[in-house]
Amino acid sequence: MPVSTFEKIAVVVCCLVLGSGAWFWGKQVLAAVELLQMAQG
Amino acid sequence: MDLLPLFDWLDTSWLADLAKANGGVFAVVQMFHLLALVVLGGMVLVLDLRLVGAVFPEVPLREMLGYTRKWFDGALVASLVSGVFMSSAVAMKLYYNEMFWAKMTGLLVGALFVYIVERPLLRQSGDDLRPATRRLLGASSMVIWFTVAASGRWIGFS
Repeated sequence: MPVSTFEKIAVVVCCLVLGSGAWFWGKQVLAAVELLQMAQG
Repeated sequence: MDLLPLFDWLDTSWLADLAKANGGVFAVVQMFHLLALVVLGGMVLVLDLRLVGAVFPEVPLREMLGYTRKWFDGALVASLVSGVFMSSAVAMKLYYNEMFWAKMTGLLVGALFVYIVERPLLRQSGDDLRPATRRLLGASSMVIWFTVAASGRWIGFS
């Protein structure tokens, strides 16, 4: 069955959302790790 | 676009006076805010878990959307209205809080995702949607709303 253009656009949007989510939470985890390392001297 | 004048106005508005002066009113509004968040989160989870295939596999997607749609809309409006009231009490503090803006961005992205992508696609394709797209849709939605919830809680600790 052919995939509609709308579905293709939705897949791109979902990939952008998941990528942004990974970037945002990755940044927070890295900041937390850095704080932990600083606290441990 | 600088929203500082808006927050400055909100901070000195009659809404802020009411929120700051009356702890009882604030507590009642906060209770409605939390209730709205519970309903909103519940509707998001039910539909998204159905999309990823974790719950109610026998219920058609369009039917599932019909069950959750109105509750989601009502909860979103209730959380926005009560949220503006609660924000007025600490408007300037929120303006300079990074996590508040993360929450607002997530909320905007979430609403746009639901009304422009998720619902129209489910209305158009329903159960004819490819399983991979269906799962991607559910996972993306959960990531957005998890970010809204977590950054919202984070405001209190930052």
